[in-house]
Order: sequence, then structure tokens, then C-alpha cells
Amino acid sequence: MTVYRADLQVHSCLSPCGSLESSPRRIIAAATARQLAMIALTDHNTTANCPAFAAAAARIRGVTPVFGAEVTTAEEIHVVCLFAELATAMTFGAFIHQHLAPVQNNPELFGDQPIVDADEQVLGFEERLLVGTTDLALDALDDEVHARGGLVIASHIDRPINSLFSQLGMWPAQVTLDACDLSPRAQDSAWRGRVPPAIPFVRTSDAHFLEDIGRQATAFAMAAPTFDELAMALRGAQGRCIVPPADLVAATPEPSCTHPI
Amino acid sequence: MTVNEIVSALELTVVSELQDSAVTGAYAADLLSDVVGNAQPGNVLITVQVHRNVVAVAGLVGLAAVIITHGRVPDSDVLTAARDNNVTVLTTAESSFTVAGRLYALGVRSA
Repeated sequence: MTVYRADLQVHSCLSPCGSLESSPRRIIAAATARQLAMIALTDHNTTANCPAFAAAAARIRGVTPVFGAEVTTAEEIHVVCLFAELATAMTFGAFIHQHLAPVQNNPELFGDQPIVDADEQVLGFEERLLVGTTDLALDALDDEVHARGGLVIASHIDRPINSLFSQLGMWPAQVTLDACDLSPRAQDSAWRGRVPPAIPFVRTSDAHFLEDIGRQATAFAMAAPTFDELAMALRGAQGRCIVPPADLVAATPEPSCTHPI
Repeated sequence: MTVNEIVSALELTVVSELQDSAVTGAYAADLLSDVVGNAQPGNVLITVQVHRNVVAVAGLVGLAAVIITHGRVPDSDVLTAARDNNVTVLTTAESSFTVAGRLYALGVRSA
């Protein structure tokens, strides 16, 4: 196994709160510069910049793109949904669009929502407010993503806004999330007791600006930096695992797998 | 004031089994973390939140009842959980603001 770093939550210029400089091309360049093996594009409730992300990644190589979105559930929980294939992500994006509240964006309040290509040419503007809420309950979204072969990660569960715990108060029964994401200041130990032991913690940058990409990332021990290997590492399957930060600091050649499964 | 009296006064729909008890006050919130932190035992909760955890939180806090407002209807599994846990779930077409105002006019306070 080899240790690969992955940043599984990054916003592009299409997210209303995202920097206009964060084009898919520059996100891929930043990922390469920061030696991330995998990077996911997860704009709010849209996958429309994923084609440019795929094209930019194909030019550079060396970094595996993961395609997805950060979806807002009916309970206003932010959930990162990830897919291996661009086509699957785009079909999912169309599904999300059907479920997103039909509220128009006001660029003066929320900023522009440009859809771009891999050369940073503006192809158009998303007119629906992407920070809006879908009518998909957490359970329904969880089932939908898994049915499409994707992974589901609850975003920044420690935060007081739009997190699983802020909205639901406690861990909900009957969800099958693949991981929970913790913000930089959150300690694993403070949250471990509130999340079932089978569900691992990951760290993502949630970058809205280029300089934040990879600020936080997760190290995975895998055979290769692929989506399927990532899914196995989250499950702790077949020797794949999440590498605890302490093991990275110690530069352990064969990282110990402490994932509970 | 009791749950039964509130149901009659506000013409609420009982969608689980009604457990009549004394009401100590009311709390209005949609964030269940806020309900866990601030609602008091015996309160009725006024909310648009229909996730199953509203039942879990009602049990945790010891709420007298949950009033789901604005015409929202919980899924059947939520109502099953409510019956299994003796949590009274009530619905109304009125908004949370109106329900809170009417309860206040009846003398119910936050406590």
C-alpha cells in the first residue's frame, strides 16, 4: 500500500461563495502543486463545472479527479456526494437540479455563478440560487447516491450551521453514510462518541479559495489513487485504510490501520 | 394547560397517539440541536422539522408534544417511531408564528 493524500471537498467559482479565481483548471493545478493524489469538485447543489474539471485533470495527469456536489438536504444539512465517473455525476447533477428550490440567484447578494470550461472561458451563468435547499431528506439523498454507486460524506459535522448535528441534534438512525468530515479546529476525540464507530472521520479543505486547497486533507493507504480504492479505504477493507495524522508525522513506512472495521 | 386543551383550542390534527399531560411552556425552533439545548421538559415544540430525529429529541428532552406547522406531514416511519416512543405529534396548516402567537394568547409561555 502507498499513502495518497486526497482533498474530497473543494468549491469552484460556480459556488456563489467561491472565489472567481477558483476555476477547475486552477484547482487541478493547485492540487498538483500541493501533491494531492485525488481531489473532488463539490460545488453547492451542482455538478456543472465537473466537465471542465475532468478536462483539466486529463491534461495534467498525476491527480485523480473525483466528481460530485455538496448537496443541501431538506433538513438543511450539507452532504458531500462523490462519484467516480463524470457521466454519473452529471446525471446526478440533473437529478439535484430538479429537487433544488426554484429561487433565482441575486448576483449582487450572492455573487455570480459562472459555468466555465477547462480554459477558463465562461460558458454561461447558473441562474438558480445554488445555496438554496433541495427537497431531498437526508435518508432519500443517502439512498439515491448509493444507488448510483457514489459515496456520501456529512460535511463539517462540528459546525453550528448546516451540519448533521446542528440540524438533527443527534446521530440519526437508519443512515448509511460513508464518512463524516471535521473542520480544522475539531478534535476527532470530541466527536468520536457521537458518531457510530463504523463511520470514519475525514478531513477536507472545503476550500472556496485557491490558497485553501489541501489546507486539510485525508491520507489514505491504498494500492492506487482511484475511487474504488478510496471506497475500500473508507470501509477499511482489504488492507486499505485512513492513515491517522500521527502516523504520517512519524513517517511510518507501513502505516498502521486503526480504522475500526 | 394540557396537551388536550391545546389540541382543542388550536384545532390541531393528532397524527400519532395523543398522550395528555400538563404543558409547562412552549419552544419554537427547527434546529434540533437548539431544541436539545434549550427546550424544557413538558414543553410543546413548534417546528417545521419532520426528520425522524424530532421524535428522538422529544423523548430526550421530555417534550409534552410536537406541533408540526405549515402543513408539513411527517413520513409514516416517523409517526410509527412517535407511537412506539409515546411522543404526541400534532399537525396544523398554520405557520409557526401563528401557532406561537395563539399559544401565547392562551397564556402559554417559554419555560
